[in-house]
Amino acid sequence: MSQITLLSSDNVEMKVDKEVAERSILIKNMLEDVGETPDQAIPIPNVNEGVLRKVIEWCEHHRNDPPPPADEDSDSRKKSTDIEEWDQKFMQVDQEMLFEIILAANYLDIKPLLDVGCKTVANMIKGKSPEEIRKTFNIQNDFTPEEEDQIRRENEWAEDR
Amino acid sequence: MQFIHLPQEITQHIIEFVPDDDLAALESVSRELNRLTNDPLLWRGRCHRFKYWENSWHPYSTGPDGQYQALQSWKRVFFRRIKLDREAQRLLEKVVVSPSKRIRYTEKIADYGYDVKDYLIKQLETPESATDWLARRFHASSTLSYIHRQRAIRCWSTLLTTQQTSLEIAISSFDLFVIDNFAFDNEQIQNLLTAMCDDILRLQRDFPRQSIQERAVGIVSYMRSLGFLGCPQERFHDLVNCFIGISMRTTKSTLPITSCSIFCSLAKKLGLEARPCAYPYHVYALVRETESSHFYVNPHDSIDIVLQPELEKRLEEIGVTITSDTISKYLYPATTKELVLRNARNILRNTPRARRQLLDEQPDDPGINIDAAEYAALFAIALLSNTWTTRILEPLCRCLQESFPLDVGLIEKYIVPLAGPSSRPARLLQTICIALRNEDGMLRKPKLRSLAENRGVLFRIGTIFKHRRYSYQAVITGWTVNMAYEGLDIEEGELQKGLMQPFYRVMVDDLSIRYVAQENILEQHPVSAGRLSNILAGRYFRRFNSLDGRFVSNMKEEYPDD
Repeated sequence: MSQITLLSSDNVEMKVDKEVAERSILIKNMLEDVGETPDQAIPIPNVNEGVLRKVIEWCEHHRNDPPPPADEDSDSRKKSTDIEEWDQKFMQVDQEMLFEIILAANYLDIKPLLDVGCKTVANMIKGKSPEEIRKTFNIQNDFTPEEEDQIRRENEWAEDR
Repeated sequence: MQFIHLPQEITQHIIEFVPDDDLAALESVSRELNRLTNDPLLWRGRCHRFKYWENSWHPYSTGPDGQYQALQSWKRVFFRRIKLDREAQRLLEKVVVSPSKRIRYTEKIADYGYDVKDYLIKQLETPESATDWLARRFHASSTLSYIHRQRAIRCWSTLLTTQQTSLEIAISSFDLFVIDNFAFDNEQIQNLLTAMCDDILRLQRDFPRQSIQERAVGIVSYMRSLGFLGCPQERFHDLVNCFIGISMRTTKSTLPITSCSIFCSLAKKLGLEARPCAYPYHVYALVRETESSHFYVNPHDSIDIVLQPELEKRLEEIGVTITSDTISKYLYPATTKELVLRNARNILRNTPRARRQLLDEQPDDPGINIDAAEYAALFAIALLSNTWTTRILEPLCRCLQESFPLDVGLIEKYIVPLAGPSSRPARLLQTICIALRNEDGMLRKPKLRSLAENRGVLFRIGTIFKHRRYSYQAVITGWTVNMAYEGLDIEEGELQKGLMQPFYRVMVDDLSIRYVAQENILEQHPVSAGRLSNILAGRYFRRFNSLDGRFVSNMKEEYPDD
């Protein structure tokens, strides 16, 4: 099994099976462009060591997953906020790390990991009031009282169910 | 790193996963989130979850003036659909639970038409773990059937006033009476035809540059290459040939009128002007070449082009005198109304044979619900020809009473006014409609087991049994202790105890309904209901209970003790 080396933004080298690294479409395309397994470490400038280790852990676990469905099926994918058990455990990290993983998945183009991350955040929004959401994510309420009033009126559909 | 620092594309991606009900809270959090949760693309994506739309509400639809309607935002459209789903859910609940006002509530659901089709289709897949899955699936299915018949009838009724309705939609409306897979509606047939056009353009590269005659021949030869070769003489009277959608999907066996409808639809979509003519025994398509010239094709029989003098000669050979009248009758385009009537008559001609084949257990392949096919034809003829012979009126009344009592409103709305307010047919139909309406509004009179006369009834609703004499398996769906009063035909042969015993209405495992004397019932408690576990059992039962090997009754009003 051929291995490659990744270099995190804080200059830490990590050896990883090529197959695992290729869960990242960015790395996969890069390796295809180069043609052969490179001797030098591949720099991942946007991702620090801690986050990169987490991402590699996820890729290790999902190394044998079938490829994600084509984009036409994106609707059925989006409908469900179900997350498989291992991924749920994996995502039990602080918010800082959760958002870093999402950004890394986005940068490295690992769609299934990006989705799991976004679903995790969506689940944190589920069932909460606006105030609870603000508190959870440390968001400022920047509406004027008039604007708040107007939104409440427009939201009559939400109430009469 | 915090939520508010996420790039917009990521926040948008997160919002896509937020359930509908939580978006209201999210949009009240902050200005930025308010902006992102009101993104039309987000709501368009959610609208695309719904496949079927009543035309007037789809945001892509055009108004009566042909102008694009941009009156509703995707968000409004989406929430209207969600509301309608909830309304349909509320009404279907009532339909499932009680027989009283079942017709009224079904009509209310059907008022929403295609806007609730997605919801009802989902109900067809109610999991077997639900306590009322059989009843729920059955009533969702019968409501869907009603919605499709209503759609067909609306389409035909437009033919009374205008010629705008396209032929293939009017002809494929017959399919709407008989489909049980509700994806195969006439929208789907349109899609199939469009795909065929794309195929022609792909396979016949020169098509756009060809002469009109070459293009007409190109279309016919394409149809033949797909297997539309008409049908052999011995299969000419198969019922399937009259149903354009079913034959397109399955046998590709067609009658002249069906082949010609397909041809004309394809031609029209590909920019030719082609219309069917009601030539005797055949249906020729007249294809216009220029203002003053035209030719004919008969896609059912051949790829050859025929000119008018040739057809006139053939008409004379079969004894038709050529006059301007006969020319306009046989050689000029027929109205869509005439062609629908012709198809309806074909169906009526073919149903007796289909019934015989069913009795001989050699049904057509694919099996078509013969009662529904006949009803479609009768309805079309009553609506479009306005003739009231007993040959039409009597079977139409029978269909309404026995198989399609849900359709009372369709008869009241579309047929009764046509017959003239005080005419005999109108009075007859009205009497039936009033009786059905009364029955629908009534509470069922309960049959109590505590009454002395009912003490001898040994078996309960939902009991599965084997027939002592004929060995078939069946399930009890009703009982009576007074056969004479109920006025039912008993064909049970010799009964030891005669008529002075309880009789049971039963559903047999071939799904027929019969009446069986108590002495012939051998109770069973199977672990599985086998062929009886059909959606039709949902008319009477909530589910099958494998623990005691019986169906659970959904007729508590009429049989409270069973």
